[in-house]
Amino acid sequence: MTRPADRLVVAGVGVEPFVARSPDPAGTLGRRALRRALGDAGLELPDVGWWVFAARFEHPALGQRVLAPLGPSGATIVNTENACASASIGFALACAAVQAGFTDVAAVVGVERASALGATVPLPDWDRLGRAGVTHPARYALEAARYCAETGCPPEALAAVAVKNRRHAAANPVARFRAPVTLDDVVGSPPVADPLTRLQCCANADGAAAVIVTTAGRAAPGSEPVDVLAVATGSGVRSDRPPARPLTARLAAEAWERAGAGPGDVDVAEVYDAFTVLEVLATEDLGFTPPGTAAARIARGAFALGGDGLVTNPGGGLLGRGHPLGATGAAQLAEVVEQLRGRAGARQVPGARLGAVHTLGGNVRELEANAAAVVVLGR
Amino acid sequence: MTVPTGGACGLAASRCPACGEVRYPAVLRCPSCSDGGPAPAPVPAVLAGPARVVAVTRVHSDARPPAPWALVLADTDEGVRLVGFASAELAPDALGTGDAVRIAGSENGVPVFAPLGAPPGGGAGCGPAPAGDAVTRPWTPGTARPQPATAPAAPNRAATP
Repeated sequence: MTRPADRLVVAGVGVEPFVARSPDPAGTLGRRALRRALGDAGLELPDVGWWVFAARFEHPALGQRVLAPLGPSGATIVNTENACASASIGFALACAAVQAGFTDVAAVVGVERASALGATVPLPDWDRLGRAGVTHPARYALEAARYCAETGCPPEALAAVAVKNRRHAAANPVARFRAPVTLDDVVGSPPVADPLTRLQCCANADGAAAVIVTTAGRAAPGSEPVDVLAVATGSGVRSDRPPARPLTARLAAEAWERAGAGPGDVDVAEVYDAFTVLEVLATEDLGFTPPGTAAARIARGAFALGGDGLVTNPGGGLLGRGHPLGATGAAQLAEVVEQLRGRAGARQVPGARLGAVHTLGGNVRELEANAAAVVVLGR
Repeated sequence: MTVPTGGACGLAASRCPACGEVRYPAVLRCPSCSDGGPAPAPVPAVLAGPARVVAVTRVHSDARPPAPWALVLADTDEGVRLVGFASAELAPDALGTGDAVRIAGSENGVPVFAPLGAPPGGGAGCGPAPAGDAVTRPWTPGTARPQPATAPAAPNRAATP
């Protein structure tokens, strides 16, 4: 069966390395990531007919600010905010713009200087829980405590997620954290909210990442496009009654159906791991392992580089790469694209052909999440 | 309708007149009756509890001194899942999964739990706040939470069923 020339592809990706604190303004970071992605795609700035800029806390009109020094073409610029899923939802917009015929090339650029936030990400003061002093780690620690109570999983099993992802990050030149950590390091790091310790919570970082979306027919000769097989996005339902099916599971079902593939077919996945427990829950909700088994399996070495099955977060995840909020989704996409091209170097998942990206964003505490995306990519 | 702002302990819930589902915070439209065309507007309801603790975390953060303090996930008998605090006089590890609790007070709409069967005074209560009460006395976000005038009582473990 020949594949249609108008199928969606990612034609280029670029990541400006994630660091603890960058001396450069957001515009510079965004332009560097964009230049890498356009170069990777073999395309030029005027080729892009639709722009999506993603950030959580950056300046309004971020996109206009990033592009102004480059002599923008006058093409549409959309600035989006969807908490930590900003760039992944932005990617869905870029895909939609190409598919709708608004443009034949769209770009997503995620930028954040999260160092400006300090050590944590504040809950907005209009949030009931935030106003009362509840923090993001506290809220997710409650989910970790619930998971451990329901599955009997020891807290050390959650800590194993951080060990795996930090080991993977050691081989990722764009990751903020390049030194591996041991289980003792993770368990013995300062407690944040039981059972989560500091090394089980991702750290803020400064950085940017960009993704170029086009069709297979429009991709430049010599470039290495990767097929977009499915994009599923959604927002959370109310959290005051446990949903019959979590948001990630609902989106995953949609994505697998659209992609004509199942979780068992996936070779490599970037899974949202702002806190260790979130990777555990997502690994189950995506269907990679039955409910209640993810933490125990990760603790036994599953989903790690060097094993013989699916590898999750080969780029280090948020725990290893650091988390410049608006850039994270684009960096997750970039990692899976490079894996599918076989260009991931020392962290390459051998023979990876089918990949998935999962991003979750949340801070409206009445909801299970603000937004989430599941993307399936292949070659 | 407008969202009710009162309710017992400040927990302004709503109940759907059609299916009876209780929601907290109150909703303007019943999520469970939204597929069948027009549904009656939810009416104000009292979220009374009791509730069963699903999970507890001890939070090591100065956002609510003194650290550590307990954040509690609990399901009420009405089926509402709540995130709240343990009552101020309880030790941060006094409540655990499976414990029966009551809604003893609220802080800016966040429920405060105390063990079910604990004697009056085991929580802030739902009436007027006693002078110096740390749980219900208003405080300004961003400032230190008011502390009890007297030292906290010993944790009331015996009252936990």
